[in-house]
Formats: sequence, C-alpha cells, structure tokens
Amino acid sequence: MAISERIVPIIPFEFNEAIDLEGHEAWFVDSLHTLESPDFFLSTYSEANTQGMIWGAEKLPLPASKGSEWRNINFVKILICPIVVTSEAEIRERQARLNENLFSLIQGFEKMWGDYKSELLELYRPYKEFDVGKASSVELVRKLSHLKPVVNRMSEVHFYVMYVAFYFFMLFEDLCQELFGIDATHPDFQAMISGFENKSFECEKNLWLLSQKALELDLGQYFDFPSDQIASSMQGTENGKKWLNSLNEFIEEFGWRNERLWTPAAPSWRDDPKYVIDRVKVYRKVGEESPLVERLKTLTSRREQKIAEYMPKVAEEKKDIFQLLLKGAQYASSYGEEHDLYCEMQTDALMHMYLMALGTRFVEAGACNEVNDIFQLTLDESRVIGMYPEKYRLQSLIAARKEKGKEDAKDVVPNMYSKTMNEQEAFGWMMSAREPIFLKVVVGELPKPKPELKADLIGVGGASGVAEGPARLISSVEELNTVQPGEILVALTTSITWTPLFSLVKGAVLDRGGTLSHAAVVCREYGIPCVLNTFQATAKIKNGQRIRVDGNAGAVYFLD
Amino acid sequence: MGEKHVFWFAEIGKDANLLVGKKCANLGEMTRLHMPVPTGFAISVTAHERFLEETGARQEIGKLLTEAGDLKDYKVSADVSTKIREIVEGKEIPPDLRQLIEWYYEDLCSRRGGEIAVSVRSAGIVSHPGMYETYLNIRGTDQVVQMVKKVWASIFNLRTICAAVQHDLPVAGSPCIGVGVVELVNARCAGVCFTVDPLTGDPARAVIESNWGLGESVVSGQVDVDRYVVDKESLKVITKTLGEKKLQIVPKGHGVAEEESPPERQGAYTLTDEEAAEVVKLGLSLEAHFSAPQDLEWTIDADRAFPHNIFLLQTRGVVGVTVQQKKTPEERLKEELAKRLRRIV
Repeated sequence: MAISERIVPIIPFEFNEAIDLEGHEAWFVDSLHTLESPDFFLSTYSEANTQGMIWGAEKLPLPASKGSEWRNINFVKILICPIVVTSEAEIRERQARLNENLFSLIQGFEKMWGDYKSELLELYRPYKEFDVGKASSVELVRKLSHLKPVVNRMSEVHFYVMYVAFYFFMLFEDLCQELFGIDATHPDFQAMISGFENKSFECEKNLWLLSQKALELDLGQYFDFPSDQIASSMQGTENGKKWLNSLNEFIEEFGWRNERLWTPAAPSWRDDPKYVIDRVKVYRKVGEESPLVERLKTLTSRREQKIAEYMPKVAEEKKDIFQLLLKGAQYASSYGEEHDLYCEMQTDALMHMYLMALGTRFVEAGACNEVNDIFQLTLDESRVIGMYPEKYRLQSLIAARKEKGKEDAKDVVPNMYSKTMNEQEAFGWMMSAREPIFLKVVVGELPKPKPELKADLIGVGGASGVAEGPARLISSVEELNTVQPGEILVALTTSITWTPLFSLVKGAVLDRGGTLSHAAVVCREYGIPCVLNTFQATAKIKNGQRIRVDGNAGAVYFLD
Repeated sequence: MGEKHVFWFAEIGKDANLLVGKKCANLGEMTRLHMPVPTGFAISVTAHERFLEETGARQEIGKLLTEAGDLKDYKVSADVSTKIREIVEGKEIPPDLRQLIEWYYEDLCSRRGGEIAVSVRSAGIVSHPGMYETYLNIRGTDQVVQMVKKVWASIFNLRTICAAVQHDLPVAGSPCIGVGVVELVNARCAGVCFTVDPLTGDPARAVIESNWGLGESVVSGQVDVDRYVVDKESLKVITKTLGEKKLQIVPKGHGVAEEESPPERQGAYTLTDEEAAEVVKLGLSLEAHFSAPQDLEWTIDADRAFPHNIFLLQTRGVVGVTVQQKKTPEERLKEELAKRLRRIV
C-alpha cells in the first residue's frame, strides 16, 4: 500500500484556509524563519513552537497575549497568529501576576537561565550517548518518539526565557525613551547593552584560535585545498594530527549544531569536519590580530563609558530602576545571541543524527534509495514506516514530493492572511498584544519615512556606525565562502550559523528583522553597522554594487 | 520670690514646657544636644502671669470683656482685641522682671561685642503654630522689652479671641505663654524641613522647603518656594523643584519687610545639595532623639562657611501626616517596576 493513501486529510500544523481562517483574526508570514526548501520536519517545529509560546506566555504571564499559534504552508513558509487577550479585566489580572514575578525574574535571571541550560543539556545527554549505528529501526523509532517531547520542552524553555528577557528589554527601551528620548535603534542605547562574553562568543573565539593554531603549526598551505579534503591530507603529518586533535575537541564541545537553523535535514558539524574548516577559513581571511577579543574590549569600554555618560542624567530616584532594567536589557541582548546554541541547534543536530540513522535502515530495507530521502517525510510518517520499513516502497512518493517541493519553494505568498482585516488593521491588532517576540524579532519596528535623508533605502537602525563597501548578496549558508573581507552583507535575514561572516564584513543590510533579531544582536557585538526591515534590500541591491550603510540613521545609500 | 524667671537655653530641656513654653523648651533641648541653635534665653510663663496680675491688666481686661457686646460679632471681637492690646502694651513690666530681661539681652550683646539683632518669639505651652506673634530683627534693650510686651499682648489677638469664642472658652482666661529671645541669624535663606514626606507619608524621605531671606515666608505658605526631596538613607537629593520665589522677607530698619526678590535670585536654587543633606542630617538626629518624625525650622547664615552656617530655630513632632510603613529599597524598586509595567502594557 502506498503511503500517500495513509496520510490523513488534515496534516497537523499545515495551514488550512478553510479551517484556520475561522476564529483566527490574522496569520502573519514569518519571513525571518522561512526555509530555503521544503522541510517535512516543519510541522514538528510548529507544534513545539506553539506549545512553547503558549506555555511561556502563561508562565510569565504576558499581560495582553497568550502566545501564538504556528502553521506552515507546504512545509516551506511559516505562519504565526498571536493569541490576543481582549478583556481589559483579564489583561489587568495578568499584569498583576507579571508584576509579582518581574522583580525576582530580573534579579535571578542568570541563575534561571543557567538552570534551564543544565536541564536541557541533561535532557539531551542520553540521546547523544546512544549508539545509533548499532540500533535497530524500531529502537530508533522509539528514541525518536521520546525525542519529540524533548523538542517541546526545549521550545518551552526557549520561548519562556525569551519572553522574560525581551520584556526587560522593552521596559528598558521605554525608560530610555522617557529619560533621554532614545529608543533601541539609537547608537547609545545599543552601546549600553553590548560587549558581553557568551557561549556564541566563546564558539567564535575557538574557531579563530583554530585558525591561529594552523598558522603556528605551519599548516597554512593545507587551507588552499577544498574544505572536504583538508582533514585527510593533514592526517599524514605530526603537526596535522595535532591540529586535527584540537579540531575534534572543538567539535566535541560545539559540534551539536546543524549547518542551517531549523531543519534536521541540514548536515551537522559532527558529520563532517569540513563545516568547521569552512569557518576556520573565514577566520584565516580575518588575519592574525584577534578581532574578537579586541572587539569585545572596545565594546566593553564603550559600554562602560556610555553608561557613565548617561547615569548623571538620570534623576536620583530613577537610578535604581535604570540600573535594574539596564541589567535586564543586557541579559536580553546576550540571550538573543547565545540561546540557539543550547536550544534548537542541539535538537536539530540530535534529530539529524537519529533521522539519518533511520534513513540508513530505510535504504537497507529498500524503502527508499537515499538516506536523505527520509527528510521528505514527516516525523510521524517516518515513525510509522520505521516500525517495519521492509513493507514500504516510497520511491515514487519521494520523487513526487521533491518535484512538488521545487514548485512550492517558488510560491510567492502574501505577508498575511485574514478574512476580516486588511494588512494595516491586522498589524495594528497584532501590535496591541505587545508580544515581545513579534515586536522585537519577527516583525520588528516598521521604518519611519525620512525623506530628508535622501537615502536609497530606509530601514531601522539595528547596530550603529557607518560603513561603505561592495554589496555581497547571500541567500544560503552554502554561499558564505564567497564573502570577501570588507564587503557589506545583504540578505533577507541571517541566522546564528552565519555568525563567522560578521568578522569579515563591514556592515549588513537585511530585508527583515527587529532590534533583537540575530543580525542586529550580532552586528552590535561585532561593532559593525546594520540596517534592518528595509523590505527591499535583496530586490534592489546588486552583487558588487558599492553601498553605504548608516546604522545610526537606519539608511542605505547606493554609491554606484 | 526667689523664683527664676529667665533661663539661658542651655539651662532648660524638653521637660520645661510648662515653665517656658514648648518652643523654648525645644530650643533648650536642642542646645543641650549640641545642635546648632542660635544663642538666646527664655522668659517663663509665670513672668507673663505676674505681669498681667501685678499691673492690673488682667482686671481691666475682665471689666472690658463684661462690658463688650457679643463677641461672636467679628467687629466687636476686633475692637475688643485692639483695646486689650492697648491696655497690655501700655503697662510697665514689674521692675525686677524688666531688669532680668535687660540683663540677659545685654549679656548676649556683650558676648558678641555690640548690640545685636534678635527675634522675640512666642512660645505657647501647647504648640499653636502661627497663633501668637513673633517679632524679628529687634535691636536695643528698650525695643526688646517693648516687643516682649507685644508678644505677651498677642494672647489677646483677634485669632485667639475668635478661637476662644468658637470653643466657648472664656477670653479673659486665655493661657499665658513663654517668650524666647533668640539671636537673629543673618539669613541667606531659610525654611522648613520635614523628616517624613508630608504629602505621601513616606518615612524614607525628608522634604525641605526653602526661600531666600528669613524663614517666615516659607512658614506662611504664601510663596512658591524651592522644594527638595532627600533620601534619608543616602542623604542624596532625589528631586529638587525650583520655586518661583517672587517674594522674600528680609531685615529692614527695626523689623522686617516683604519685598520682591531680585530676578537672579528667583531663578537660582537657595540651597546646595550638600547643605540640604546637612539640614536633613540634623533633622534625623532630632527624629532619633524624639523618636518621632520632626518638623524643623532652619536657616543658613550668610556670614559663615559650610557646615557651620546651618542653624535650627525650631523643632516639633510632625502632625497631620499618616506615616507609612518604612519601605525597603527593594519594595521601592518593585513599586517603580510596577509603574513602568503599567506604561507598556
């Protein structure tokens, strides 16, 4: 029997206009997390994200929002619908509960996040230690079934802590607006919350150290080879072995991550050292001076200097609250940068490991031709088939899905779906929920028109500074290698797997993103200008075109 | 005889209310505590009684009152008050009492090496702020003696008579008071200090109100003055509000005058933060001593350098303010956080 006949008519979390538009005011397309190609794992994420956001919004609680529901279209596009609290009495009651929690949340944030990190790593540990190579397919199916709640728990922690941290950020921004008339797009605001060491910084520093170690061991010549040949060529030499040891140590610590975010289909750093070597190559272009450590020092002293400059402007009676919320906003910035390393990157890599192992069993059983074909199935389908893969022949289904996937990826979808509201009404409705992730990451501030700047593109300042250089358009992680030092990154959005790029480029211009989205946080930490929410950068800017990015004004100028 | 009628402040303390009136007793207590109080002396309540009895003033007043019309009539009361004060001020102080007052004043002058200006202040047994009269910038023995009589006469001022009538008390029995003769400080500025926020009852904050010149313009509440809110823990000025300070009271001739402040003074703060902190510090030691929030009158001497330029003229327990439970810095921060939260929800 063909699997296609077994699929239930409503695939969970696939967007169904007939059903999902009833009782849901509006669905917004999350262009920040939209995938490059269909991924049948997306429904698992939509389930986890819905659960995580609703749980997080309830635990805090968010006063005017109960989280968000998630859907996907054809396993490519992601839709989000906020759950808005409309009753004034209920908002007040939730606000009172948040008020009870807020103070101790700021005071205890580091410990709370530390405890959650330990909890998650402990949850992952048995799955990392399990020997997938020796397991039967039914054992793998059992493990996958148990991993699903782990992903859900990861999502709960991810969104709860994010709501907490981003709420601090919003409170601090409001305070700065009142005290100094500056918001999160102001360079001084950004300076006050930048320059902290975190796991992401540590990872990048270790990548740079690997590049330096290669120079010290006189292994420079190997890096002219293609990345996938470097490890095998080095095996023959003493120094090569030494470096490969360091590489393995690095992978042991930082390797639980996939090449792309939010998809178990992407290869993991543990699968092949070439992915790490790609990053090391980027750092070789950067040079001998440690850009990371120096940069951190500069940012740290600039932060201290700006805080010292603004502190006297704060009335004595507001100093305490200023310091408290400043600390909260700093946590938000750091959390925004490092949380992926403990959350979805780890579960992505775990899922990848188990699905690849199960895919191998599928090929052995003749159910499909390639291991990667398993990523053309949803998790539930894989589990059903994995019970006894010998019974299935999925080749035609997989071929059809691959064909359809190519078409689906090209689909242009509107910014939102609603039966009752136009785009403006829907944005207004969504804003009323004061939902931190919508406001600061997924949707972000909409740019204010600034005709006096005579700029070619207007966006929102995500990181301060001004830089000029040739544009480099990047649409996927595979293109990272094309970036040259001094170029300006132009993209729809960025993810944490792109982080090494920021040591190389002089600035970034993004179609989408809020002031706490990945690109904004990382650009601030790398001390380079960034303009977000331009909506049209990738459509209007050509590769190689010289542009000027003004992160202070939120403007982009075309120089030729 | 043999009874003592005049006392240096250093000789009396807070238990001397009945003897010299509350204000004098408090000035005495502050002097004993080595607080910066101007030098001066107190005239006893008995001296006042003796004066009224021995001069026959009491009798004359009694007669006048029996012949007067209905005191509930404002015009009648005003007329009676004027007449009684004429009677009292027209009497000569018994010579022994007069001599004592003269000796003490002259002793004060000789310590300063010349004739000095003083204030002659009323001091009721119970605190009645603003009930009786006080005379500022008085110089010379005769003037001082004359003003003591005027203060004594002020127990029959219109306010007192109206109050007695209202409460159905005999006007003739208006209680006698003590008098304080206090060296006048050459005030740069002056005002009041509450060791609890009188508006909110917050016990963690002290509030200072201040104007140029003598403190009477602040006490009267007629002028929009500078306001300082000071954190009692850190002694830091949390907020300060610049008052308009259109008018100031300054010494002029024999007495004082209310005049318009020069524009440059209107636009400037009267106190430095460090002076404000010092005033509060003094207030806090008095609050601790009396185990109750205090309402002080203070003044800054234009001729002395900080911190020796601060003088206290009066202290009394704060009345009419419900003092809140003391808040910890954490509770305060939580409240502020709640306010911030309300703004963004």
